[in-house]
Amino acid sequence: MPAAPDSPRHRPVKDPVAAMPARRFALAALAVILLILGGGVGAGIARGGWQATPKLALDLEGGTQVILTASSLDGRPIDAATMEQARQIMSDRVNAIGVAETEISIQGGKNIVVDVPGRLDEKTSEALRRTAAMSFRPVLAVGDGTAGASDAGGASDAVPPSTTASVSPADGAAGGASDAGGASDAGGASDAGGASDAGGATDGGVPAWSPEQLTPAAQTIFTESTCADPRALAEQAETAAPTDLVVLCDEAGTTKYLLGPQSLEGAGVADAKVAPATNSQGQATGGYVVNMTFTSDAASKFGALTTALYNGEGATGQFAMVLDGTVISAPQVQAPTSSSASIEGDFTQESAQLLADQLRFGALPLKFTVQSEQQISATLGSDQLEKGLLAGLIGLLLVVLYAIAQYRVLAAVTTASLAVMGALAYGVITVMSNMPEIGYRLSLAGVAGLIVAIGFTADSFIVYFERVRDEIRDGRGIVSAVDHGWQRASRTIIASDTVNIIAAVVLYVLSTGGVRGFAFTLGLTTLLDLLVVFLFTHPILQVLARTRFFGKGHPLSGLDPNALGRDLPAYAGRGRVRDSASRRRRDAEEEPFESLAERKARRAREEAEARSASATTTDEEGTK
Amino acid sequence: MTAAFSRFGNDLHTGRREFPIVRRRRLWYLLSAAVLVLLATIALVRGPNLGIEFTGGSEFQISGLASADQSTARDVVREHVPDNEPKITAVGSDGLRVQTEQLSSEETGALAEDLASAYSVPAANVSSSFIGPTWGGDVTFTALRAVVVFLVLVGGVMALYFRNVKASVAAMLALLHDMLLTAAVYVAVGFEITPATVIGFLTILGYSIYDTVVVFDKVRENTEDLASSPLTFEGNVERAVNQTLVRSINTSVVALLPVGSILVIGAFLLGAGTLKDISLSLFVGILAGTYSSIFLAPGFLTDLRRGERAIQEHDAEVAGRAPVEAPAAGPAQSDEADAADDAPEPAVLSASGARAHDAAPTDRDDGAAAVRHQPRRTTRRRRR
Repeated sequence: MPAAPDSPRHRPVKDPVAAMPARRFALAALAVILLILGGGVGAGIARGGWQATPKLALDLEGGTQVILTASSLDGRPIDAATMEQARQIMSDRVNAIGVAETEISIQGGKNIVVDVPGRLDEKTSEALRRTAAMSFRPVLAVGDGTAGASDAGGASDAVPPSTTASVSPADGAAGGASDAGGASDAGGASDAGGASDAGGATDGGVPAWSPEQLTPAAQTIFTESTCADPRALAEQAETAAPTDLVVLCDEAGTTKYLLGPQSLEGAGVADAKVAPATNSQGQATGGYVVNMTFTSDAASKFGALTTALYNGEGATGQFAMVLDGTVISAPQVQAPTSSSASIEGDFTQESAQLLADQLRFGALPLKFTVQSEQQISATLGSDQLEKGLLAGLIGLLLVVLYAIAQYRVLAAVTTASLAVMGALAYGVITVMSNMPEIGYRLSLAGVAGLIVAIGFTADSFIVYFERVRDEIRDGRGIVSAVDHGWQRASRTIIASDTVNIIAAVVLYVLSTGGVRGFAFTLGLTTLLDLLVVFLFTHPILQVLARTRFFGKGHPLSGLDPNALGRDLPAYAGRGRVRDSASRRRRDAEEEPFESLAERKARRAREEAEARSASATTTDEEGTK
Repeated sequence: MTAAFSRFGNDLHTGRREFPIVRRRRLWYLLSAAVLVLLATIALVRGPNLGIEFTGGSEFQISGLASADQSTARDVVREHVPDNEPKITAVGSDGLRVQTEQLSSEETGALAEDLASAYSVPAANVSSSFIGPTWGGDVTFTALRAVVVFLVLVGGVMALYFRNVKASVAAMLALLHDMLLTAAVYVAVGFEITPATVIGFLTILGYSIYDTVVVFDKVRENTEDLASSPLTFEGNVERAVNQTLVRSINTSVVALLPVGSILVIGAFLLGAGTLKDISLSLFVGILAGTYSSIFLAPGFLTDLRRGERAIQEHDAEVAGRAPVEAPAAGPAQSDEADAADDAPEPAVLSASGARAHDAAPTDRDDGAAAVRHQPRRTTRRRRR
């Protein structure tokens, strides 16, 4: 038999100093974490207008959720940048309509989930489904978008530097005369006439870029337009035919453009890439350009446009790239080009990348189909939350009761651990839902995940306690059983939790909607489970093992060696009963002898038991 | 009762009592295969009961009802779409959910109005939704893709953790069994399958592995020093399974309690919906996971590793010496062997362990401690 390592009679009840730091450190770390979380939530509520409770998802709060799935027009795989473009465009449209608190997010690669509080009106619904289109149009006039009724026509001097860009053949050969200062030669636009009205179709014979497109009516409309509501202009442009003139704004809403009929569709762009800018000697200047290439069909149209603009046949020397009713770039033509073009300008790497992404997206816009549109009334939502919480409470109560039945007073550790877990989960979820960058919302599936986590968390305590009991059954003293049991159990717990975390992360990354909400809480609670077991349950059990009640295996402690089939006198049985008496007789001369006597008796008993038991074992072995 | 349960645990730990779980593994294989085949046959005949998320359709939710009489709704729906049998379920304490085939937006609006007037609730109490037929399929497809990724990752992690590919394979096979069984039960019984069901189903993945890890950990511990073990490999696995039996029962009960509580609340107080769907599939899955981690996974492990040379040699050695040592091979000795796995020289080790962990400062100065340890060591030597 392994000898019992500890003898309570001779050891002070107080903790040995040597083993203190790890325990203390763990508990202190946990206290710090709890304080930071609690303080963070408290400060957030006091100062930042946070809510004390986590924000709720639509299925608990009521509202409408629309899930749209993207499909590319030619079946190409959809990349993340394209989805982000689509999300941005959708978000701009919905914000323009003015639906408060609409959340649009990309989930599971090719789904866009739109959460709208309340009901979804027809207009918003339409704005979500519409495919974004890109077109190339010649610029007929440029104006200051912020001024109400600015001068029309040749308002080119008002062009802010941010919109200046120029286009030249992508090889960079041309472009010596690159003066990106503005469309100064566009002044001639004002003397044009001929086309009937701004919205009307042009005569077949007039080129799209011709100053003749600039009718007085068109100029009046252009003069009256402002960029105060760029989306309104964009909405109008959406309904206009490709042959109509349109007034549109740039992304910043500072510049307005009067654009001629569409010269070519966005689909003509074969690719768009960011490249470092070079000067005429081919040396890098440190700036960036966006290189576009065109399909052969589009190249001839683009060639015609740039040639005409370069030769001064246009109302201005600029053309505009319009994506979803917004002018994303309006470069000045530096040289005629056809199959490829290089857009130069005051780009940073990010702005160049953004433009390239926009061009690529516009070349192949995503088509969205509504997968589902679900409404949940606010009353049903609160009903579900209430019942969900009730289920959680009952589940928690049952787990605690079962733990008490199995582990007696040790169940207090389970309960306290679950309480710490609950506090941590509340803190983390509240912080994450209040931080605007994360904006987590608790859904019904998330609540279910939290409740299920009660059981899974308690499982790790069971694995630990049972392991400690095994060590006691093997004859270890309680303090050492806790330490050895922990070494084994912690491995099991880490392995199991790793599996759960993998499951949660994989599900979160690869799925949509409800699955995500569930995966999030599952992953979060698993992480918190690890934290609680390492920083609370184990240190607390270590501390408790050094108290008389647990350390000497009181029958109600759940670690009673007698109940676990160990009545070794050396560490528990007799010693505990006689404890107070033996304390007075400090020298304890006779103790070892008594232990030996006990031991002999026990050995005899065990051997007898062994013989009878081995008989049955051998029988079974024999029949095999 | 708990005292009896703990004695039961003690007996299982020492090997005084041992259920023939691994020894009878072929019986469990057969049983599982038979159940799976039977359920799968029923499932194939019945076909799955797919929720609206998979079939597509329109859904109306009426809340704030004075009386949740379902026949009123049925009559109203029949007026609008005569050839469609609506699916009507209670939702929450005072609500109804009506699901029909997919309707046009005018039909949807008209039906919503009629439902409101038939139940004499304000129109705002009736909400309508529509779900395209591909939505549920899409959820399932992404979920299945996630399952495949998960299996590959976890298979790798388990192989690293156990430093043994076969243990990983055995765990994955048991997991596969759980998934198949849960799916078969679902279809065979005719429970409605919704995306929430899929969520519950996915959680089984983590849980099933959890249970198996607990058992396999014990197996690894018991076979760390296989050469000096008096038991065959199979015997060691058997011992491990029996030793972790109490743990498996406890963890399963504790995991089932909250799930069961959601299930009861979800099914009886809320009616159809996310909570019930998640918890039902979890409930079935946890039961399957517990069964497979006890009855199947250790058996798979034994069969997969049986052919290894070291194990065959050891088993042959044990078989050879078994008759000679049989009388001594009682629980006392095997218990000691257990401890020996843990620490080759338990008496010495735990004595030093006591010094390190329990009473470092006092023990060193305390002469009595040394005296106390002495007889134990001699006792041990004598016994050997």
